[in-house]
Amino acid sequence: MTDPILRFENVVYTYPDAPHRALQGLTLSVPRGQVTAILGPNGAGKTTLLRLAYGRFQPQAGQIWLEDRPLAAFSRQELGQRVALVPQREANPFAYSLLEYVLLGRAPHLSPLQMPAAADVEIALSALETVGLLPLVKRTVQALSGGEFQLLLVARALAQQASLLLLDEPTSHLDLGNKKRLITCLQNLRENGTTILLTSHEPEVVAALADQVVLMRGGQVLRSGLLDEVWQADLLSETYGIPLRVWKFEGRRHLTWE
Amino acid sequence: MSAVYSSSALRAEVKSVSQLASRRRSRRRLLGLFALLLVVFAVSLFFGRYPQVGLISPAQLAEDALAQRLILNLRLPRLIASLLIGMSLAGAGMVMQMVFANPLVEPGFLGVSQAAAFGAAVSILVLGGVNWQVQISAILFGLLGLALSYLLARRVRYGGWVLRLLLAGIAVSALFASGVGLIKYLADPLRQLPDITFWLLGSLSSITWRAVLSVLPLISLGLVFLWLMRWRLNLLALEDEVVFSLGVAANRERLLVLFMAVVITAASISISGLIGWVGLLVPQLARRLSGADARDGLPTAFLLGGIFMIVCDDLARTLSAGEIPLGVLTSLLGAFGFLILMTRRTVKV
Repeated sequence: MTDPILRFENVVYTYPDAPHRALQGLTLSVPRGQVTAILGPNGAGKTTLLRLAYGRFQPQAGQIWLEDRPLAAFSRQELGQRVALVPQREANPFAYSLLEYVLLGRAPHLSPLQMPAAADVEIALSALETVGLLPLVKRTVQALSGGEFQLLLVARALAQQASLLLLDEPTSHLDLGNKKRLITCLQNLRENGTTILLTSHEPEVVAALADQVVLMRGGQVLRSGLLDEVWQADLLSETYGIPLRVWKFEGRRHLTWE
Repeated sequence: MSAVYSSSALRAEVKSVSQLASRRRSRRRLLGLFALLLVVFAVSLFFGRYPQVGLISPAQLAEDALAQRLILNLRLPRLIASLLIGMSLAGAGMVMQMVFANPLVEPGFLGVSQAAAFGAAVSILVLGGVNWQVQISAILFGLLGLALSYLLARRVRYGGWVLRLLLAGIAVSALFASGVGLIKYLADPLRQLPDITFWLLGSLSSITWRAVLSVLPLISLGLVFLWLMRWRLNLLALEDEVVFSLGVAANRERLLVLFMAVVITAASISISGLIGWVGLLVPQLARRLSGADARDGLPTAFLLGGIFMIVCDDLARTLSAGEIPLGVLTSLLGAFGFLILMTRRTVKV
């Protein structure tokens, strides 16, 4: 395995006032230059894991390492330069242009009184180009469809020029066409060697994208490994708690329940 | 990605169209607004009831010593006050709408306006309405209102930081509003009540150089600071989770810009009394004009706020032989403007 960019060691996290641990002794590693997918049912602790990965919450026990340094040793701005987040959903009531919105991704590289310069605009435009939104650049954010907006969030994260891209349930509220568009976009990023850590409760999305898969349930890792090793009926059944069957049809992996 | 999307020709075109051209256009728009502000300011200086409604001509000014004194000692400080107050309220409104990610928020709502009104009313009731005492009391209570909202928000047990501040602001406003009501009930109806009512309606009719100069440094400092932070405001409008992931210490920066916005709001209303609607309406107009990005939106709001307030005050001092309270006019024009904005077909706040 290549050297990991991010490592969790026996990480424990409990939300304030919560009766149960959201993560109980979680260990995993995210290899550089690959797509790692965390697959699990709702409430498995996937989003919590991401929140710890970009430093939003600190674990009560265990250790997180980013680029072989303890994550807690990074300043917030340093983390923003290294880890970018595409949130599950995002609300903003103001009608920004696409370029203005993507430029916000340059924040970790600017000091509080600095404004984005020509070089930042160049980076934002190429991020828009990468996700295929350049032709829509004159529209406002509010004129975008849900799928296009999700691509815009990916573009903003790319403008951060981070070494690790986190995506929280990137396809969970997209229709089929938009799902395909987003998956294609992420596949292209993967071809270019972007390191991605994503969560999903949709096995098909994970099957289409992931190099490494981590199966999670109840705040713990059930199994992790290459897609082929993990894509087993018994493992997936255990993850979701219902009997499942796996199929391979025309080179694609499918899953059905009984 | 298809080849069409990534062709360098399209990219060059997009770049010229979207970025450079729009930056140049916004700079021209700001310059235009600035020129308009200068014209409005200059005309207003010579415009008024002296003794009939009209302009004082340069020839008349050269001979008439009274007209000279009128312009230098009454109209000039009053115009500068209008300008500062308009810029402050509109700018503070823009900042608050962005920090709270809510286009319906106005600068006084964190308890500031009602607390300042309470401070002014207490001063009138207890100390008897000396101008500078009323002013200081209004500023201090305005800041106290903010502090109470902040401390209360820290103790609210649920919701994000923004929601908690909002709830606390509503509660603190209501508290001080009831205090104002009580003082009005207790006040001497012949001597004190008219003063309090006058302050609550807002007016610049008794403004002096001293009052203007007393708030000028604070307001200038606040305006410059907010102007320097203008791009950053866009970030502060994002959700907590997102703005954190962009490496921004959101709550600290939000608190800092909110504090500045409240300081200039309190300083403004301390010399004018309560003036409503400017801080709600002008930022919305500014966003229509310049787009959502506060890099352009904030300077646009500053300029529009200044123009709006000067024009309102011109009307307040000329429409009738007596003064019309400024706060009444801004509310009237503001509410009409708001209705027009809301019923237009293109909704783009």
